[in-house]
Amino acid sequence: MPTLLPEHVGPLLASSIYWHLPVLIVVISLVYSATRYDEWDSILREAFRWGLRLTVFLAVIVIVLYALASWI
Amino acid sequence: MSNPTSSTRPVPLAAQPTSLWAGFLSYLVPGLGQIYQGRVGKGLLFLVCIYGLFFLGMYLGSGEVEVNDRVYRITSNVYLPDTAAKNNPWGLPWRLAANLYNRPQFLGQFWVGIVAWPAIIQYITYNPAQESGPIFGTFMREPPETTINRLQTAGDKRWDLGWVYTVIAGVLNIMVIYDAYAGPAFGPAGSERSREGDAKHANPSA
Repeated sequence: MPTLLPEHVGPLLASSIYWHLPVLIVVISLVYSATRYDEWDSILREAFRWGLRLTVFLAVIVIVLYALASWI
Repeated sequence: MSNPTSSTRPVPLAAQPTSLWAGFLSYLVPGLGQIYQGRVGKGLLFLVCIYGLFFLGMYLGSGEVEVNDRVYRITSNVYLPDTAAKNNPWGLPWRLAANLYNRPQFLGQFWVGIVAWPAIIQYITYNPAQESGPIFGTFMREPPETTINRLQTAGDKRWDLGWVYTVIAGVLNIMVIYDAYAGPAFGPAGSERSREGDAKHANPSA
């Protein structure tokens, strides 16, 4: 029976690959916003807005897929 | 004396000095061009974010699985395999083009800069008769096909997620390179473009 060696991932991270998604959202939001502005308040404000948009977008996809998986 | 036309005359955008050197520095190391230009905080932000994402992706994309008492190990998901002889459906004239067609991920990973160069050196010095490269060993070297197959069938999906992260890090660095080359989209602090961006913030529908 094939097994993953346990020393590579902790039990929490091993439970789901989706735990890594917040890192992606934060990095994309910050880098994209920092390429549009030089002032920190503008960067952080824009990053927050983009983070929110990405999170909502992904949440909608999760809900749609969950609904499809549940009812079809 | 007031100028009656001043209120209607369009305000020209401040010319942004471009810097190829800063762009090249940001290609080498994300954020280095911005640090060179004195925008240290922003440069460090780019450095931490892009290297953080890239190395997290590499960590997720490396590891080993044990199948039938045999361990299959992969050291990195950043590599460029020499597979043109096996697969070149478009009949691409250049070997490199065919190899990039077979692994387009590297087109994104390449832009993260100097940390992807071991993969290029491994590609140039690749010798299928040997198990490791002359300088970097097996690091960023094309893994054997059996190892990839074992990892994908016996491992979880982290391996695939890992290369996605490294590709996104590389593609984000293209924007960072452009920021070092030409400045931010809405200009440096105090410029017309910056004020334009702030006004857009205040009234997004405008």
